Amino acid sequence: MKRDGSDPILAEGIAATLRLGTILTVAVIAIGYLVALLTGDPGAGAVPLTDLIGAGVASALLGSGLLGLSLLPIVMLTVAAIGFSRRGERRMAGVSVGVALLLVATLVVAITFARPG
Amino acid sequence: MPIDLLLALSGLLAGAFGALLGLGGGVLIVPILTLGFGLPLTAAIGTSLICVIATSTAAAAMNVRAGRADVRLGVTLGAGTAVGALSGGMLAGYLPERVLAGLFAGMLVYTALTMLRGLMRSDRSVAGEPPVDPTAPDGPLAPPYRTHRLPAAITGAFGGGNLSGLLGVGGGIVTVPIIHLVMRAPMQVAVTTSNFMIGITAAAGSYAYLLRGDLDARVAAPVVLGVAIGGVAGAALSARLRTSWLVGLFVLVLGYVSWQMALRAIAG
Repeated sequence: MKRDGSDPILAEGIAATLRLGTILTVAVIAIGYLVALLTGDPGAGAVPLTDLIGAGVASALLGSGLLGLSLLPIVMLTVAAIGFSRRGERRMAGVSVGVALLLVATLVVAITFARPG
Repeated sequence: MPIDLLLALSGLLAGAFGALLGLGGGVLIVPILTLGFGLPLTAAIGTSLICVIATSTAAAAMNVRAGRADVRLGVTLGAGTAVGALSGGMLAGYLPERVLAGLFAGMLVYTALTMLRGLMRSDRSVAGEPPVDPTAPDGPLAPPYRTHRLPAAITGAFGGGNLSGLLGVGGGIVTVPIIHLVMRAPMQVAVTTSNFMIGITAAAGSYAYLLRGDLDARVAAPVVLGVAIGGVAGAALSARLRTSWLVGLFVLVLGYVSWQMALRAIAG
């Protein structure tokens, strides 16, 4: 594998996705936390994320923020795949899509097999 | 002091330390939440993985934009770490807490020794590596380099991912040496690319914890927010501070924490 120099457009796309995604998801978590503090919501406790999203406004916001943060790498890999594809780098576009699908698969496996604690 | 504030302050401390020392922060967050707040180890690991994603994505955005991280290499090795992290995360749900505590103590000792060795060699390393110019138009890594032994590196990345999913750390203590020593990429590429990969790795590991119900979102939220703010503050401070004394202090902290985790493993 040989490094072939930087690509400002590809790098900027990935960087912007990571930066905006982090700001957005952390902001959603902060709003959810603020709502929980203001309403005195003690939270739903240690429950699967799927249950959290339907457990009140504060819990839903917290759950959405945490889920969004954990999904951010999938979005970033999709942006990378589009960037590589536009550059004509089919192999790297395929690898990016493959790793993104691998993350989706881990999500499915976790939903299917994760043993409730 | 309200527990929320203490959790946020702990996150702030871990985030700032992590940014100053180039760590994801997991090596601090997990012991703080288990030893300091009495959280079950699996809850602490799940919370830590979410925090590690936040610190990694924020730092990776800067490194990718500046051309310091090798996106191609990071994405390719990410395949290995993602599978490893999922298997580690799933396995953690079946292992007794004392086994996890023992493994964590061992990992902390290894991290402390690695940091100590780096501290002792830092003068020689700086002298031996070409100077880095972050203001260069193509970033500091413009000279091309070639990496080697990809299959071996992906296998090693699987091990790094497994450690991450199992113990809630970024896995950089495995992936940095793989990229630098096995693939023979420059050290700075290894560090920044590993940081880029950590987001992918920690995400894969976090799904098992999030969906198993190990995580209390009300507890995780102040820690994540503290880590996010601490990470930004630490990154801003890192340019002005000499970190060698911080590394020394951190090694002492790691030594103490590993001892406490070992006691937890023995006591059960």
